[in-house]
Amino acid sequence: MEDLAQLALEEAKRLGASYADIRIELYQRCRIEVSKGKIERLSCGSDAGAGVRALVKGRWGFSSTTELTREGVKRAAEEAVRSALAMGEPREPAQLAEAKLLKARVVKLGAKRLEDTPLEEKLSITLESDKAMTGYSPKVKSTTVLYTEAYGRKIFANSEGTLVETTGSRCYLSHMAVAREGGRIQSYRTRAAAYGGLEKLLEQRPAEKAREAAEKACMLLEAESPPSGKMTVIADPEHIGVFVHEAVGHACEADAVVAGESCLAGKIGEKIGSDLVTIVDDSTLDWWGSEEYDDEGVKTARRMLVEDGVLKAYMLNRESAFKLKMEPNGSARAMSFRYPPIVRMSNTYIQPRDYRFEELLEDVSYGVYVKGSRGGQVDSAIGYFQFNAQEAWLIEKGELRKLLTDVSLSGLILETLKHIDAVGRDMEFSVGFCGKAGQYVPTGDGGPHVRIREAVVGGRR
Amino acid sequence: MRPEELLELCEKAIEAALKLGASEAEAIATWDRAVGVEIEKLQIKSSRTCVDAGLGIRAVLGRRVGFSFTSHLAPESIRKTAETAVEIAKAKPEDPLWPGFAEPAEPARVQGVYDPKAAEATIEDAAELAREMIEAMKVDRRVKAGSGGVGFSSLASAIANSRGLALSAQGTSAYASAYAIAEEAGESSAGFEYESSRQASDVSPLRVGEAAGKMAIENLGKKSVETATMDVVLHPFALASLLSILAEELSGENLYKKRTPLAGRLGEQVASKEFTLVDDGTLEKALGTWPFDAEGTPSRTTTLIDRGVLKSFLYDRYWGKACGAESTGNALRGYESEPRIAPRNLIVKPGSKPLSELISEVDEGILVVGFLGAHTANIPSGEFSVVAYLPAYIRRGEVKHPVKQAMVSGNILEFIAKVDAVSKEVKNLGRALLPYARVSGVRVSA
Repeated sequence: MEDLAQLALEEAKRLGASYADIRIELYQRCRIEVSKGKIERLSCGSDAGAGVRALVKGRWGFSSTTELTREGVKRAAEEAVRSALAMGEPREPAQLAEAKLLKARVVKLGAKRLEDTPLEEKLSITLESDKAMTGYSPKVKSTTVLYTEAYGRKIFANSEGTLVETTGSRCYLSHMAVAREGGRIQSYRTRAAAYGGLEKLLEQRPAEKAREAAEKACMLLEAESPPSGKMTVIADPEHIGVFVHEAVGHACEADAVVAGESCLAGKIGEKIGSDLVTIVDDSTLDWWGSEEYDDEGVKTARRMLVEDGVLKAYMLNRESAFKLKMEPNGSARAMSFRYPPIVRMSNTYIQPRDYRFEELLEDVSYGVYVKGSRGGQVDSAIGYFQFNAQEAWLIEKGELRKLLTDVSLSGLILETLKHIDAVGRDMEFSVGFCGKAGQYVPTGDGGPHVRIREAVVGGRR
Repeated sequence: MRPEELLELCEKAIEAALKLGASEAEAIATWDRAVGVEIEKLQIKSSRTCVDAGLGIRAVLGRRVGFSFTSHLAPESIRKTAETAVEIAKAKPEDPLWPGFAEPAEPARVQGVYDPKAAEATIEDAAELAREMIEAMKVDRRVKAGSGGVGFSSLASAIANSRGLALSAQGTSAYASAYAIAEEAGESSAGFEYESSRQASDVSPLRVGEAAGKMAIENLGKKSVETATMDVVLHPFALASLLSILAEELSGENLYKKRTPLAGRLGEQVASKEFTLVDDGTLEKALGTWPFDAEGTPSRTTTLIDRGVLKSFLYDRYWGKACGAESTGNALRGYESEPRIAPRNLIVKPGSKPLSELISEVDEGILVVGFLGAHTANIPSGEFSVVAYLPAYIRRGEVKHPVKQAMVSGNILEFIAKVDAVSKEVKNLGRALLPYARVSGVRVSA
């Protein structure tokens, strides 16, 4: 495969590219879907191809192909250069910040390798999770357990001479329980995932997580409708993870910053949140959202985005780093060879402080405690975001009073961070996928319990 | 690749699976080539040319079904994929619900799926149109940034099975999308527009750019509103966002699993009389149109909700049989996955009033262009709580000013039951043909 990579890079250079890179991927992917004890979908297949990027006179061209032959990659290189040239003279030619020349090989397959684990065992893990839900209560009327895995090889090479070969694997489990009683219907989802071997997924005790989904879905049958309007919110670690991801993470992606589409552009060194807010995106953690090298062959890093309320850094690829006169920090990721890399998060979290949960609750006369999440969404330019909770509790006079059904919250980036007035001492990470420009990549997020004053709760009452 | 070549590959794959002991087999193969140009900061940023091809095989042993796929179309890969499909079938238990593959049937006659102009469009053509769109976005000096894209694609697909079904077709698509940002006195606002069709001439980057730019300007001057119960007028984009939730509630799979609030309500009044929803896999020039679905079932038109009465769910073969209904031609997939139910082209029947009347009849309300977070809806219960994207405040029949922050929450069934008017204007969203809709008495949090 390395010779195919070199062939494409030479072709791109011959046709006038000042810089070119290629990613060749060879992956095996499997997917299992189980519902109420029945294996409903089961598939395994191979996904392979190459994506070539060419920088020609300050313009980017990209081409991808599933034809992994000499002709196939040569044509992709040619198309990438042609695409770049089609664009005409750019007003701001793209340039790349310097990156260290690398020859690296990463193996991240874990101890219990996916490739060597028989399909039967993966089926039994999936079925066991399902059993944990269906067995919990007869109120659990429907379940879905989804197991997905991918393992294989990715080769990154660029025209500067960097070559990174990663042999890695990822596996993911999600459990959804639907409970029903009379006319009421509720659902809850929990997840576990690992970058590496199957042992890391099992360490997260998926069957217990599955049981939790069933328990929560049943519990929510008794829940009341949530209130609406501005109020104090306490978020659990999973929920606060989605909050930092949506409220801060996306606006710190440097491609949005240089495009004039982030409300945090030009604000490095400025105070954007309360003193208690320290936010980190860390690709060096041993967690789901991590990678050793990014899709531009740059070593990934721990990025301190916000420190004690002050905006410190962005997540950068080489192009945005050049424009902002900063150092690239390995944040370029692509969903697959079919897409060019863009700036992405890895594992984003808010750092714990010293509050105990009871202390967070104490001062709240009226508010909601929100837990878990099905995700969120943001418009980084206008700085407006939504983040969803799967479960909520009404807080009255410092006590958790009533269980509420799922609800979402919203806020304005530049206001909400200033409204964080207490940060807990616990810490937990979650797993998920982040979607941007049609590309979904694995990301992690987390934090402690956090209190936010004046968040907008989108309830029914 | 030509559709006939894909069909040949399918036949080979079926042959290989049968030789390996499969009692029945089916293969799907697709090829597509896309060219597109991306815009950033009101300039062309990058462009791409992507080719994707692959093949998926379902092999059946009695009532056990295995699936495998490959993106490598060489004969030895296809053989290996057939082998994996058979292996997987062996690992699965008997499935009493298995309906078998589709019998050969005459595919639907569809119009305007293939456009030579879109098929032959080059990256240079896309770049030229993108430049026009950028100029059009600059409606005003306050438009400071803008992104989006223009592109074309060509698609060919084939499906065949051991019952003698052998179908292939080709099509094209074109799209233009623009996202403009305006700034004034420290305030940022956004505007958005999107067009897509199977025909290049239906998509106007010029129109798209201008609309996005204008919307961004109109959204300057945002003010806060108070939390209250009011009317919500949905832009077709916002309606499409809610229909993505409703489409899940209408899925035959969710019906069978009783995880939709519509379960058991066939023939009942589930929405207001103003609300008629149709899924049409044959709508002329639309992106969801194709002569057949991903199992080879002929495409058709299905009335889902007729003047508020629930008429049908969406089915593929499997969940159709499970629910005692026929496939409605709603099996969708790429070569890399097993079929899944999804709408083809959703149509909400327009009303008789113009949009201006929908607004002038409102005492207090908001006009909403879209929603953030529709994907976080609770599908089994139908509950959602989302952010109104680019809302504008309506008071005493007039749009007064854009709104800073507003959330809308409710239940999808309550929402369609409270639709009290739909506009006569319709917008073509590529995969949907939708009017504006007014929903009364919605809790809006701010």
